[in-house]
This record gives sequence, C-alpha cells and structure tokens, in this order.
Amino acid sequence: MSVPNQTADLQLNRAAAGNGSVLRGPILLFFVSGLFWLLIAVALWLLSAFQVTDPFSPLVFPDVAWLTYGRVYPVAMDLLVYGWASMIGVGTAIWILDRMAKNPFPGGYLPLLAGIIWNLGLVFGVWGVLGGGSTGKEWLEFPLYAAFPIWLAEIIMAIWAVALVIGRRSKGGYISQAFLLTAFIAFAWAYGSANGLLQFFKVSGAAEPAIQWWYFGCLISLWLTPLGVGIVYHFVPLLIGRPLYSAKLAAISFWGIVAFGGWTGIAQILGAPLPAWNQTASVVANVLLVIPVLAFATNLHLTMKGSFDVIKPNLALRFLVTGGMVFGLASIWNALTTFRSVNRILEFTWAVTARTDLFLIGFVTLICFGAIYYTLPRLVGRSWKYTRLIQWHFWFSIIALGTLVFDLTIAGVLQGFGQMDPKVPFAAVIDIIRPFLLGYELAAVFIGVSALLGLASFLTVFVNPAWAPDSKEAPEPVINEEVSLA
Amino acid sequence: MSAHEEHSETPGIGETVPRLREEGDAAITDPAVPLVGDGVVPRWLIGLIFFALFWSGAYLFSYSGGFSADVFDYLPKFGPLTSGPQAAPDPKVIGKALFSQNCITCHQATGQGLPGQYPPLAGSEIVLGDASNRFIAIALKGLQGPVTVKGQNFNNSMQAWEGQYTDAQLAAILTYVRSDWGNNAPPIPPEAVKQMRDELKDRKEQWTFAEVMKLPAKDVAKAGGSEQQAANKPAPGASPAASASPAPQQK
Amino acid sequence: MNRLSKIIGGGFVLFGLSWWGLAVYPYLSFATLKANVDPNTKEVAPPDIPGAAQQGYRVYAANGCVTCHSQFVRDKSEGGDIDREWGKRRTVARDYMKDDQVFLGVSRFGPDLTNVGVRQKDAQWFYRYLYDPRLFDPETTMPSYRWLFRDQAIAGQPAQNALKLEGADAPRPGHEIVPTAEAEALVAYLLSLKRDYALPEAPVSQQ
Ligand code: HEC
Repeated sequence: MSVPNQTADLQLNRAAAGNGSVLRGPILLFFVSGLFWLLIAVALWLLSAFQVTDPFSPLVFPDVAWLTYGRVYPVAMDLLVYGWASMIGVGTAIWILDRMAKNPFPGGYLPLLAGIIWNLGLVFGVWGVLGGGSTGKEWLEFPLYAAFPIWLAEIIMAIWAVALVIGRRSKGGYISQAFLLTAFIAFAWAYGSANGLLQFFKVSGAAEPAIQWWYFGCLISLWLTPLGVGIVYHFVPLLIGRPLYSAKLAAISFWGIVAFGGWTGIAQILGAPLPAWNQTASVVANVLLVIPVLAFATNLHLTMKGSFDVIKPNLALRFLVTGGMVFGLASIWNALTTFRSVNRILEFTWAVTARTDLFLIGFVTLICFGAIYYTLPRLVGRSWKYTRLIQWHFWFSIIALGTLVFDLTIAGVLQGFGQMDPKVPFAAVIDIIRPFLLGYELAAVFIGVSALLGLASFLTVFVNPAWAPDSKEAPEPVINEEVSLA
Repeated sequence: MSAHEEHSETPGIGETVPRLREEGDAAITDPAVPLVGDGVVPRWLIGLIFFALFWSGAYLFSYSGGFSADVFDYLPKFGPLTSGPQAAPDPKVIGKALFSQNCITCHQATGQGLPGQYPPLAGSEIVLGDASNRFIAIALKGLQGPVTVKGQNFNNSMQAWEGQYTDAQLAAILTYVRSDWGNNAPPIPPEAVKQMRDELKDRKEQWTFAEVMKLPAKDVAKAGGSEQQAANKPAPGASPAASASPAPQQK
Repeated sequence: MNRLSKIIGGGFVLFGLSWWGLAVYPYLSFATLKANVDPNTKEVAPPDIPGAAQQGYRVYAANGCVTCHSQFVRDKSEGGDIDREWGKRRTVARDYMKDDQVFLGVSRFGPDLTNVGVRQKDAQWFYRYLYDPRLFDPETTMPSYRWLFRDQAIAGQPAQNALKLEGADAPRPGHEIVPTAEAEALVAYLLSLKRDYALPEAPVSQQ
C-alpha cells in the first residue's frame, strides 16, 4: 500500500513545512472560530456571574427572557466546550494526524465542511437556547436542530480521521494518533447516542439522567481528555527535542482512559434514583482513572527530566506542561471528592462547579492555547513577535484559574456543611457564600482578561515577517532573555 | 524514504526507539512525529495498579446492592426491606387516602364541611363520642334530613357506604377521621364495623338523625378492639393512635 | 491483527461496555416499570400527571431552572436532604416513570424542588414568587421572571388569577398583572411536583 514514490517524498516535505498544506484553511477555520466562541462564551459567563451574584445588578434583566441567568449560563458553558475547546482540539488534531499520515490527499474539503457545519450548529444552538428552546439537560442543552449539525460534523471528522490513518503513507505511528482517533470516534458515538436517545427517541423517566450523565463522563473523559492528552504527548517531546520516555506508560494511560472514561459521569449525581451498582461503578471508575493519569504524568515528567529549564523560556511548552500538571491535579481532586463520604457534603455545591472548571479552564484551555502557540506559526509561516504578551497571557490564565477554583471550592465546602445541617435555614446557607460570589465575579473578570490577552497574542503572529521552515530557530514563542528583560 | 521512518512498522501506541533523531532526517529542524523510548514502568505504579484494582473490586462488590436494577441505596438496609405500605398497613394512611377519594368533596380536606351544607367532622360529637356504634351506623347506611352538629343545623343527605367499602376500609376511614384535624379518639377496628354491619343487615334505607340517636349508645370500638389491636399491631411507630388510645377514653 | 484495528476494536468494546452499563441498561430496566397500585386503597403511585403540568416541562427546561434547582432527594446515608425536609424519603426510579422530562440537576443554589408542590399548594403563591421572589425574601438570589407575566388593562371584572401585588410592585391603576400561558403551565408543573406517596421500595414511614 505504501510504496515510497515521488508523491510521498513531496508530501513529506509539504507536511513537514505545514505552511502550504491543503489543510491550512480548515485548521485556521477551526482556530479562528474557536477563539471567536471563546470570546462569546466568556462574555456570557461574565454576564451570568454578575447576575447570579447580585439580583439588583443592572445586568439583571427580569423582563428580557433571553438574557436571564438560566439561559445565559448554560450557553456560556456549552460554547466553552463545543465552541472553544472542541474547535481548537479538532484543529490541532487535524494538524497532528495530517503530519503523521503524510497522505498526499488528506481530504481537505472534509474538515472544511465539518468546520462550517459545526459553526452553523453552534449558531443554531446559541440561538435556540437563548430563544427558549433549551432541553434543560446540562451539557446537552442544544435542541435537535443544533445538535444534529454538530453531530454531523463530528461524524465527518471521525470518518476523515479514520480514513486518513488507514490510508496513511508513513509507516510510523505514535501514541497521539491513538488518542485522537479514539476521541473522534467516542465523541461522535456519545454525542449521537445521547442526543438521539433523549431528543429523537424521546426516552423518558429515570433513564434520561442516566444517559445524560453517562454522556457527560464521555464528554470529559473520552473527548476532551484524549484530545488534550494526545496533544501533550505529541508536542512536548517535539518541543524539547527528546523521545517520549516510555511506550509502556503511554499504553497504560491510553487503555486506562478508554476503559474507565465512559463510566465516570454518573458520579456527578450520586444518590440519584439509579441502580446502586451504576453509581458505585462510577465512583470506582473515577478513582481508577487516576492510574492512567498518573501513568501519563509520570511519562511526561520522566520525558522532561533534565529539560525543565526549557519550560521557562519556551511559552508553548509552558502552557502545555502546566496544562498537563493541572490535569493530574484535577483527576486526583476528582477522585478524592467522588467518595461518598466527601461527596455527600460537596454534591450540589459550587465545589462541583469548581471541579469542572478546573478541568475546563485549567487543563483544557491551557492545552488549547499551548497547541495554538505551537501550531499557528508553523501553519502561517510566521513566528511570534511579542512574547511578552504571551507571558502576560500565561500569568493571567493562572491567576484567573486559581481565583476561580479556590474561591468556588471554599464556597462549596462552606455551602456543603451548611446544607448538611438542617438547623441552618436555606437562605442562611446562601448568605454564607455571598462574599465568595464576589470572588467569582472577580475570577470571571480575570478569565475575560486572559481570553482577550489570548486573542491579542493570536493576532500578533500575523504582524511578524515570514519564518523559514528550515531555519535553525524555532517558530514557537520563546523568550529571548535579553530582549524580554529590556 | 528517510531514515527517520524505517524504525517503525505499524502504527500504535508506541514504537520503542531508544535513539534520537538522526543526521540527514528530512524533518530535522521541525519534525512531525516524536520518537518513543522504552523506559520502564516504575515499580510504585505497578504496585498502585494492583492495589487499585483489588480495592475497586472489593468496593464494587460491597456497595452494589447485589447488582440489581431496583436497589438504589449503596448501603445494604438492615431489617426487612419492605416495611412499606403493604407490609405494615397504617389504617390512618389508608384511611386518609380513601377519605380523599370520596368524603373530601363534602366534608373537605380540613374536615370542616361546608357551612350550611355539609356538617364538619372535626370536633363533631358523633365522630368523637363514645357511642361509636352510631358513628359506624351512619357511615354504613347514610343519613338524611335535619341534623345538628356543634350547634349548627344542616339538612342534606349522605349516601350509604356499606356497598362501597369493606370492613377494613371503612374502619380505616373512620379511624382516620377520628385522628385528624385535632380529633383524637380511639381507632375503629374492622371487627366493630363487621359487628355493626351484621347487626343492621336488615336495614335498607338511610337513617334520619332522630332514628340513629335512638340506637342504644355502645362503644363497639372499645369492646372488640383492644386485643385485636395488639395482634394487628403494625410496624413500630406506624400507628401512634393505637398507643394513644387509653388517654381519651377517660373523659 | 494490526495495531490500528486493535486500538479501534478494543476502544469500541471498552467504550461500548460503559454505554451498555450506564445508558442502555438503565433504559431497559426502567422501561418495564409499572405504577404501584396499593391493594388497600387502590391508590396509584406515582399519580398521573395533570395535562396542564405536561406543558410546564418545556418552560422549566427552556429557562434553565435546573441550573439552580435539583429534583431528587437522597437517602439519609448520602446526604442531609431528608433532615432538611425536602422529602420524607429518597426518590427512586419509579417516581419519575410518568415524567416526560426529568431534571435531576447537580446544583442546589436554590432549594430542591422534588416536593415543592407539597410545601406550597397555592398557584397564587407561585405566581407571586416567580414574579418577584424578593417579595418573600428581600435578599434572595432567585431571579425574577417578570416576563412570564402580562400587564393588561382590567376589562370589567379583574381576572381571577391576577397577581395580588402591593407597594412598589403594584400595577398601575386600572391595570392588572396576569400570568401568561407559559407561567400557568410552569406553575401547574411545579404544583404537580409531589413525591410524598409511599412505594414498596421507598416507604415513607422509614425513619
Ligand atoms: C440563579 C439561580 C436560580 C434560578 C435560575 C432559579 N432559581 Fe428558583 N430559587 C433560587 C434560590 C436561591 C431560591 C431560594 C430563595 C430563598 O429561600 O431565599 C429559589 C427558590 C425557588 C422556589 C421556592 C422554593 C421553596 O421551597 O420555597 C421556587 C418554587 C423556585 N425557586 C422555582 C424556580 C423556577 C420555576 C425557576 C426557573 C424558571 C427557578 N426557580 C430558577 C435560585 C434560582
């Protein structure tokens, strides 16, 4: 099948350069729309944070249906996942898979088509949910006419990815390929079957939440996780110029995530009217998921060993490695809080929101920006000019994340203990966390600022002169000590 | 093909290639694919994996309610699982449910009746009095014509309920009526209803108030009830009325 | 078998297991649930849902009430819900068998609504609560849903379900504030939220 020939060699060069690839357009489309949706998501999030903190805020519009908290907040979260994280993840996955496959005909129109349909789906989704068509199921709010296009785009991407890997010219394989392929297939399956069962076949009764939260587990652990982990596995060794430490550890992390990931979701609703064994299995899965995560973290650590000093100047690496570290932290925190003894206190509180945010704003968002900082210059053939800006972006992201997660976790713990005590009236429980809601507002502002900094950095790549692919200098943002201190 | 690619045969999780990139590699400045080393899995991780798998098996089997679809609590419940309504029927609960089906339309959920139309049950002398035979008789056969309750006069008609309910059901309703809205009189056991039903089996028409008051006062609830109650005693805590019964009888 | 098919095949099997266990299995086992008919009272549990409430699901879903309100009561061993009197017993699968849409929720920024129809039985209370929750608690963070109501001129008799509002909230003279059809459906739905009957698998008398 893979006879080495002229085309393949040409192809190799094309792929190595990146710049000039047929897939450049689609990848850019995914990147630009991802950033666009990030901004919308963050703006809506900010609005919702102000609304939920203070009912007398001028940002509360009790007469305007589509601007009420119950519509705005879900849209913000959905856009963060399906707009921002998924788009950047898909764009980067296209880049990685294409460069590995070295296929002369990578089907450029398929990802382009998927990108357009996906964006249409998101537009319908925002329109639908704000307009009062929400399904009222967390993370699956999009009505059928929005969910269907998104699902279609996922299917196209899954078919494209599988076809690309099957028809590849290169013989080489790498762990990131396995993660990305799995992500594409699992997400298309999960999103399709959750929306199909709930909205198309209209399953009703207690099976609904089962399907809904099974899907949430897949969304987190079999879509966003493998995307992020695949990206880290791919870029970190390339950035430090050393091989990945261990194939075996990589295998453990892959099979562990695939085996346990799908079971993790039900633990979000422990105590729900679902069979006890479903819930216990989900608790166990959340705990067992720590194994592949530790395998991943260990692999990353041992790969980096001796090169840690690169993290500081190389900003793409800094984002990726920090993201990987936050991922480890988030999983361990997740496992600890899933135990019933802890969960009975924290369930239903802001601490749960913080847990999800740690994953979305910490792990996923950091990785997404790391991926952009790595890929974009190679894609457009320019390198970053204002590394200072990117540095600011990094620190603001960390501050925003820290503020958000600390604030909400403490609020959640207090709220949880308050709720456990029947002598504390419900309104008093909310009074306890009121000051923390101000912190939440502040965190939302920080997140807005870091998103803007990210966007500004993104744009600055276009002001720099061209970068030659065979130059000795790396195109990703690297702090040149003398320049940045000046 | 470049040297870079010869080492790997099949795609997969990782090719063990313990070497760095070679000179002359096409992608030397900007490689597309990272290489993979053959590092060993640390001992502690292997230990942890076995421990975690062992733990999860134990945890799963202890807290899974026997892997049954209709067990929702992860902790096994000690004692009989079904202490539910079937296992230990509380006459007041049943009575309330039955009351809500028919009686409630006239006598109202508050037991106050409707002024001028339907007499109250809350605080009614007939309901609470010791002459429980009259109370049961009215419920069995119905009542018609003028009646005075708590000093108010009513003139209306209530159908007979004997065809509608079994002894146990009627007893439950009457017991409930005697226990809610501030009423506090001893329960009516099913035997008492049966006794009255037998006594009055030849009477076909509704009572008038005057007629029913001519029945000799007799507390059938007390006579047949007490041992019966003990035998019938529902699950602990289910029937506070049963234990509270001696008190009001002293008046 | 090469690595690629191993990855895809293995992934399918492992992933399929979770799909079966957490999505298909509950669906199949709950599909056969039947309402419980008490042999003594012939009472059906859970009761049928009144037609008006069936429309209310949509309003509840559309406005994201689920972002702040949950709808399930946990067992005593799993949390303080029963102590807080949000229900007399835990909820089980059968409680939801007649619901078209189930909104369990994962947040309790507002109180649990599983049994809100037991706590409040008056539609007028709900209307006023949704119109302006700060009539009841001046500090509360529950949003107002004023757009679910209509300000209209009184034509002849005041409407039966017009809101009883005073002070700053009172309508202009000659006008009244009445619930829209959406508000009526939503309140019918809220009024129907009553899981206070007993079921064999979830007895009420259990302490
Ligand atoms: C921003 C979060 C939020 C949203 C969204 C929200 N609520 Fe609330 N809700 C609250 C809070 C907080 C309370 C408690 C108020 C108090 O006791 O101070 C509450 C209380 C209630 C109560 C009273 C419960 C009781 O037992 O007293 C009802 C009923 C209610 N909400 C219904 C709704 C409905 C219907 C919607 C959707 C249209 C909704 N809520 C949306 C936060 C919210």
